[in-house]
Amino acid sequence: MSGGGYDDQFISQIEYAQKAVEGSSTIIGVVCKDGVVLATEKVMPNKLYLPQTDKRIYSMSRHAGLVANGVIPDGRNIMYKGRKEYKSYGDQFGTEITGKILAERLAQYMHFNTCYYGKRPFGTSVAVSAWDKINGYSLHLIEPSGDCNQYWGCANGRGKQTARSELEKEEFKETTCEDALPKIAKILLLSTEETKEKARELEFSVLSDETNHEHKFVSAEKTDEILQGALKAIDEEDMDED
Amino acid sequence: MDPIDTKDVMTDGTTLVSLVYDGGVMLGCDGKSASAVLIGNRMSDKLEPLHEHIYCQRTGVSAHTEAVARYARYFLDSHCAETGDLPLVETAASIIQKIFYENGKYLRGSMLVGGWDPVEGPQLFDVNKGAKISKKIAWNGSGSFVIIGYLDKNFKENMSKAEAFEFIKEAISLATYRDGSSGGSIRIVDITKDGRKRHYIPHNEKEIK
Repeated sequence: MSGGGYDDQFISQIEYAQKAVEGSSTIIGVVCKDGVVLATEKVMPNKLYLPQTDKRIYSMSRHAGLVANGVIPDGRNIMYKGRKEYKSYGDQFGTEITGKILAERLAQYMHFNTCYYGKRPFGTSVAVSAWDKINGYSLHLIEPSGDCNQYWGCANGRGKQTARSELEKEEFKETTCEDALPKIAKILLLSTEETKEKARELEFSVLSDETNHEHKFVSAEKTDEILQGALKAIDEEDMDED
Repeated sequence: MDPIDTKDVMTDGTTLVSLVYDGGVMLGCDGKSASAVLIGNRMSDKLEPLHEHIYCQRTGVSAHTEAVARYARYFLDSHCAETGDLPLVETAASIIQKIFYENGKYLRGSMLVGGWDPVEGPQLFDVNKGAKISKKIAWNGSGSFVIIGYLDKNFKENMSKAEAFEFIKEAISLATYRDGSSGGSIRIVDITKDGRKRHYIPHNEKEIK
C-alpha cells in the first residue's frame, strides 16, 4: 500500500510527519527545582531576516506555555487549540485546566488528525510546560502521532540525540531556572553543531516561582547575553581540548 | 372556603444550615417537603451526595433540584474519569451554578455545596443561578431566616466537631419550631478527609435549650 496505508506496522503518513520534525529546530524542555524552562533554536534563513520575530514559543494561558518545531503553522494551530481548551475547561469547571489534561487533550487532537481520510498528521512536535495548583509544575512532549509523555527533561528535533544525552548528565532538579538557562543554551548549541557556521537565534521561556507561576518569555537582550556566554564557553572548551 | 390546593408542586420549604469547622465541613437540614399546605414528606432527604467527599443540599422545588443534582453527579463523574483524581469542591459548585444559570428560566431553587478536597481542604459554597460564593457558614431556605440572629451570635470559626454538631442541631430545632414550612427530623452529614458520616435526629429528639 502507498500513501495512507500501513507498511510493516508503520503508518507512512505519520512517518513523514516525524521526518519533518527530525530535520527541524531542536526544542528542549526542562523541569528545574523551582519551575519549567522551554527553549528552542533556529538558524536565520537569510540576512534580511528581522531578528526576534517568528517566535516558536507561545503562551496558551497564564500558566501554560508551548514550544513547537517542524511545520510552525501546524504548531500554531495546536497552540490555538490549547487556548480554546483552556477557556472551555475554565468555563465548565470553574478551575484552571491542569497541565496533564491540557497536554492529553492536545495529544488527542493530534492523534485524531492521523485517523481520518481527508486529514493529515501535524508535522510538528510540541513541548507543553504548565503549572496548576493540583499537580504543580509539569512538562509534556507530544509527537506527531499523538504520543504524549511527561518528562523532567525532553528534547526533539534535529539535535535530539545529543540534547537528550546532555540533559541526562545535568542535575536540573537541583538547579533553579535562572541557573539552568546558560546550561540549556549550551546544550542547544552543542546539539546543532553542524549549523555552527550560520547565524543562530535562541528563544527561552520560564514558568517558575520567580515569575509567580506565570509563563514569561526571556527578553531579547538577556537571550543574546546567554547566547554569547554559551558560545564563549564552548570555544573555551574547544581550546582546552586542543 | 376554597378547597385546599393539592396540585401545587412539592417544595422543600427548607432550613439549611452548613458550616466549615476545624478539619471538616458539616451540612444540616430539616426534613419537611410540602406542596402548599400539604406535607408530602416529613423525613425527606435534602442531602444529596455528588462524590465521595462532596455533598449538596437542596432548597426550592424538589423535582428541579433533584434533577440538577443528578446531572451534576453525572458531569462530576465524567470529569473525574478524565482527571483520575478526586474532584475539587469548587468544580462541583461550578457545575451546579452553570446548570442553574443556563436553565434559570425553568428552575426554582438553589443549593449549598460542601465537601473536602485534597487541594483546598474543607470548603462550603453558596450556589444559585447568579453566583457561587465560598463561605465559612451558609444558610438557606425559609426556616433559616428566623434563626439568623442565633447563627450570628453563636457561630465562631474553627469550632470542634461536637460544637459544630450541637450548633447545627439547635439551629435547625429552633427553625422548625417557628417556621411553618420547616419541620420533621434533622439530617446532618459530616465530611472530613477520612470520609463522610451521616446522622439522623428524629423529630421527637430535637431540643431547644
